[in-house]
Amino acid sequence: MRQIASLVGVLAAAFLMLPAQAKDKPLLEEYVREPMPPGFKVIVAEFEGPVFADAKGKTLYNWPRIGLRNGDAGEQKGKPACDDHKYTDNAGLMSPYPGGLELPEVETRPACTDVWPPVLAKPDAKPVGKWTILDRPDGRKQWAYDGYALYTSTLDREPGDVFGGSRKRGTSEEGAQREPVGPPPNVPPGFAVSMVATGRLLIIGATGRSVYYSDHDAPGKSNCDLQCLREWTPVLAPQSVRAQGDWSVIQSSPGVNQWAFRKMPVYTHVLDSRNASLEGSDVPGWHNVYTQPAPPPPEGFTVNDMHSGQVLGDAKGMTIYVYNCNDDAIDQLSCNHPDRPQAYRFAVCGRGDPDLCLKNFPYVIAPKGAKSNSRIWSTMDIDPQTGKKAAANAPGALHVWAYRDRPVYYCSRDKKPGDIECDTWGEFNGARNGYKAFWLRDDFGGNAGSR
Amino acid sequence: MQSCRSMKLACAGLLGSALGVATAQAADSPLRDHTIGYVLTAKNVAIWQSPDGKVECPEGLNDGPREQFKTLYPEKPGVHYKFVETQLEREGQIWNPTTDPETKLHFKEAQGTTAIGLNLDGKVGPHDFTSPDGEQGIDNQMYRVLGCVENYRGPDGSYRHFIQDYMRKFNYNRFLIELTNVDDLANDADVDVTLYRGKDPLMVDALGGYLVGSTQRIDFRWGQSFIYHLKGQIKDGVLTTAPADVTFPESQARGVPYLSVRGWRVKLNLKPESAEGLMAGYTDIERYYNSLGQNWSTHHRSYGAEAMPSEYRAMLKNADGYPDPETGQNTAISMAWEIKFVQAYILHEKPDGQTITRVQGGSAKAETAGR
Repeated sequence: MRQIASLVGVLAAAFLMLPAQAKDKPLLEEYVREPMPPGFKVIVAEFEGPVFADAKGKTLYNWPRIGLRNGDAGEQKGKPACDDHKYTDNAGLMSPYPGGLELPEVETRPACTDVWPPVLAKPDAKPVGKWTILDRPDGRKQWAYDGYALYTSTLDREPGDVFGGSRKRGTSEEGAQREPVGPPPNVPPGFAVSMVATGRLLIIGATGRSVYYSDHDAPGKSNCDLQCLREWTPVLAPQSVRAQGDWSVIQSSPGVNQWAFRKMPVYTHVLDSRNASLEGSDVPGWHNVYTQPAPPPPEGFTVNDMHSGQVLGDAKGMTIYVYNCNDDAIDQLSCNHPDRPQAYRFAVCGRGDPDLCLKNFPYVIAPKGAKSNSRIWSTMDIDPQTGKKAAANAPGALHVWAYRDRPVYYCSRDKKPGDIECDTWGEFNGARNGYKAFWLRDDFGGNAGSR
Repeated sequence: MQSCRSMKLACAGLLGSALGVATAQAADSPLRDHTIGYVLTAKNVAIWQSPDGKVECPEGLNDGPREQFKTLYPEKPGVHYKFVETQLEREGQIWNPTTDPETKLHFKEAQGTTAIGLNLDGKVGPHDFTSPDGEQGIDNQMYRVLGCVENYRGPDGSYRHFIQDYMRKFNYNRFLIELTNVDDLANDADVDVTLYRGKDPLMVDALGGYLVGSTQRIDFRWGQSFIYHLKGQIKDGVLTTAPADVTFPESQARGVPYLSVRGWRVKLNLKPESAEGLMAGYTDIERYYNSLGQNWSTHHRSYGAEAMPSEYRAMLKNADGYPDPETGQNTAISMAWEIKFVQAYILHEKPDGQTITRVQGGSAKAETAGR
């Protein structure tokens, strides 16, 4: 009933490098080269794809305004709102609880700008293209892209880190999240890229339908016959386009132009029942197209079928969980990182009792000397009594696996591979202050990032 | 007769051929190859309501999360509550419930002796109810818990609304029941009943009514854990099934929880185009409670004034089945749902090939990039 296979096997198929590519070269998303002000650059992050960075390589973020249950939070275009005010009370933006409650660890709670330093512009800076300069309320100048003020995150430590936020879509129940900002993907008009758990998924922009390629084809040549065409629809290219970068055009039949990506003809799948679907990849020899696949987890993790899709598991198939948290102050600071207050997590995992939390949601212990091939997966030392980072080899500290610089967990209620008893556990279905299974594929809902 | 029962298909065929008369599978019969399928279109927790609600809820309906919060943490001049001691304390109790008394709160259980449901244990016990049509021995202790919770009460309880809404919107919830080995839809002492999770949308007409005769594919890819093979009988057009432990999906589209019911069975009035009645059994309390929280945030439960920690205590107090072998505490509670189906053709796709070439909402036309 449950499928367990090593990630090397299963994800390698989903993440398969196209035949035209060198096997040892990571596939990175091509992006549109837009004019940028001096001092900025583009870094192709290993999970998020191309993002803007400052001169030190720090990823740039914005904070778009969204509607929450009891009001809006975030920034409007042209109006920076992240300031140095230290909020002490919650805002009551998330029903049903009221505002005016004193926030956890209020004495040491940072101001917004302490953790989201604004990207300041020099007095003589000049706008370029979508890059503009805004006046901050404190009188300083701040860079903006597409109208939204830009910030860096103190959680990012090295160039390419994108630990402050993600493009992977969640729900508004997560609160007003910061998002990494980058140039548009270099895809032809009509295509788009959707950020899902397994990578940067190529889709048709207008319909959201997934794009696939086939092992039955050859580079530059479609072998999709009449039977194949019943289920697979070639993505047709207008007569006027020319090859560029990863993109080319083949003649699938005389006079019929079909797009090819990295030389392989691309199709949509007639039977896909939803947008950004992975359903077609169940057909032998067919694969979703990623402009950039997600980095695989460290060796030994597994992919496990459950009753709605697939989740990440440990070597024994036991489901891995991530913890989500955003506080309810005006500045909407995250609380899902071990450097931030742990009172939120301790409430939902053990009613404030760290020992009960450790029993209910054990950390995923990393073997000594465990290595990750990516920055998105790492190990860290955690003091289980505080939930915060500990010095290496500190007494009582646990050496644990972390994803996006946050520990990952088990659920003690899970008894067998593929169980997800603690998915959507906590406030607002685990999105606001709670746990979610590490979804890789959801054929019914949006848990893996697609809608 | 018994020997023929064991060879029903052969007997029916022989009789039909030999007598040269129409069998139960005439051209206008809903039965195809001794089979009929239905897809679930409505499911509500069975709540009996007196005309003014005074019989079952003489003290009125229960407080929800908002009201309980105000009771516990009343606004007072000069009082500045802490987030940890209020909101996080309440959420902590929701996700880590106990049976400790709620000294400042009062939970109102449904009163009286009338409830909708089935006699699950075949007995008439002191705590059992009588059904509205007079059947004694009804086991539905969950009615004590949820009977005075606005969320579940008709006609417009919030949960009642959203469970129907996501029944239609979210294919994850697609619940199919297939009857096979059926000779006669009115009377057949031995039929096979199989539960599946479907994977296709419910088909509706222009007014939102569910259409009879849609095609539903079985979700063999992810839905294996929802497939159950049961035995049943049809008497005077009413299908009853033998008790079995089952799980079935129930989600409001945010997560993908499920319910686990011990000794589950149905009592359904069968018609060629629809089926309607009850399903009942002993619901696993931990799974039900967690599923409720996973489906419905505190915000959503506030719509229908549903206070989970209070209900948890009431569920354990009224639990009446499957005692824990170590503690003796019952782990399950009798419960019933009112359910409705429409007839559907259940398609058993071959594992090696798709037999549908187009799905609702899909498009077979070429996608032209750049349009």
